Amino acid sequence: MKRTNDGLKMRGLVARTNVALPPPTGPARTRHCINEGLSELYSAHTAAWRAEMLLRRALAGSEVRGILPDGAALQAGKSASFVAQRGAERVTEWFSLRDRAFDYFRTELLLGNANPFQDYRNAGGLLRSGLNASGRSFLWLKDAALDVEADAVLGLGRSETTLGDLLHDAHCLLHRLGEIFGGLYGCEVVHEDGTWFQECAVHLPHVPLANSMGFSCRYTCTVCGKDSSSCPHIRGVSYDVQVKRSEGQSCSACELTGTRCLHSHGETVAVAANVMITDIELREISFVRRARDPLARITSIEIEASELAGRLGRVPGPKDRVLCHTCMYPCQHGHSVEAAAGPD
Amino acid sequence: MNEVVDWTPSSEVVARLATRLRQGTLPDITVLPSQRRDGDDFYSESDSLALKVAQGASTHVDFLDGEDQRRFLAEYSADVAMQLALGWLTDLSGAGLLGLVRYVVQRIRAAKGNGTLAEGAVLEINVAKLIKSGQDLEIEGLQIKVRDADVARAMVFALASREAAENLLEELTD
Repeated sequence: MKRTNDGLKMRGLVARTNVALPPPTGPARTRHCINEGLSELYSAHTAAWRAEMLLRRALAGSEVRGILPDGAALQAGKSASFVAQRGAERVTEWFSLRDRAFDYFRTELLLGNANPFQDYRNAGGLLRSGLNASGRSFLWLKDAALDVEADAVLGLGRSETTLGDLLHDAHCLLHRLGEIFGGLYGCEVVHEDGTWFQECAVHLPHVPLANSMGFSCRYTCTVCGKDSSSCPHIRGVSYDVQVKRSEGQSCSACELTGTRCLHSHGETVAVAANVMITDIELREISFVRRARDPLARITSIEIEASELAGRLGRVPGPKDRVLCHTCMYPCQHGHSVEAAAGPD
Repeated sequence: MNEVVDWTPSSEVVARLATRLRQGTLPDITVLPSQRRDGDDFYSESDSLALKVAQGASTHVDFLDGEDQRRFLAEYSADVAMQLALGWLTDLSGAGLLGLVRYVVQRIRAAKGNGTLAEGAVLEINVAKLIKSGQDLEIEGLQIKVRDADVARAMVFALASREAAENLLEELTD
């Protein structure tokens, strides 16, 4: 938990383990970010498509048909007053749509048809997963956009696209899925130890701060287990190693345990040399414009009680259910690559 | 952009260099910790390749610190693409300087080869010229900030006399 200059509390992801992090700089970093961004965008689109199919089936009755938005993301706001006015209208519209949807589900349930509500519930999980994936895609691609021009052409098998188009796609999908999820399911502000936190999956990827962990460490070779700065093994090159396995320990070749590992003790297998970070000593955590891991971001940020009181007309109690409508407000960050990557 | 300014390694690094000199184990090129944070010296992530790059070369390259004392600093900075700190045991011939320049060029090629250094990136190369005077060590430090393509020229002109520099550059080109 950290505090901003305004004294607000926030929580964030500082480090991920057991994942390949991008190199600190250079073309390999850009490639890594684009590949991860594309992979997450694919996952997000797949989840979004499945969720929308379920929702269209759930809302197929004549009373509710066509209540989903047309597919365009929320229009970018040019001014704070535009954003406030348009956002408030959208929240009212979504409340009305949601009421109609729930009236329909109730009627169908009374008639013995639980399928629409079941489809609605299943779509919620998919929407949440697509929303998170589109946020991650947006962060990966935004990092790549710091090194590569927006009109840089990227080959995608038989087709081509530009980084700017991919980033725009991830950004629009993030807002669209956020709006549908917030509108039909509702997101809550979280209360913990006397503090209210916003965890908006749409807003937080736009916050131009990343968490950088500074630490000292040693690098250990995965082939010989010795200091990789002294051993002769070259990263990425395959070497024959003898597997060491014992009860309860991970396999020396694949790092897996139990039946997940198919190697046997003493067997010789080819292993690509890699480097493990060991003996880590954390030195500091700081907010930076660009972190080594683009996903190391703020995950929740405090909302002052006075702000909630202004919105709700009273200070909410710890057990009150307080909804967050941020995802239904237009984006204030623009749609272009320059704007999306700009202020970071 | 070519910038050459004075640079001084930390007193702890200087003391460890003097110890290696007294022990007679100072190599031609010493890889020094290139990062200093809160009074501690650390090697950078790219230094983990420092010895692998020199395999097969006639110049003897070694870390200042043994494996047990060698710690690396991992943090992200988007400003300087690569930082090197090297101790160079000077000799009267130009061969030592050529070895140093070739080593730095090899480090740059290795970083480009594994994709961690972009074309046209700005490098910061800190060189401590180590001059033996009996059992004492004199150190003249220089920091050279230069784009990758100009490294050899910038290092030769910064570290050799003007007359020698042109000849050395010709040798390097050969």
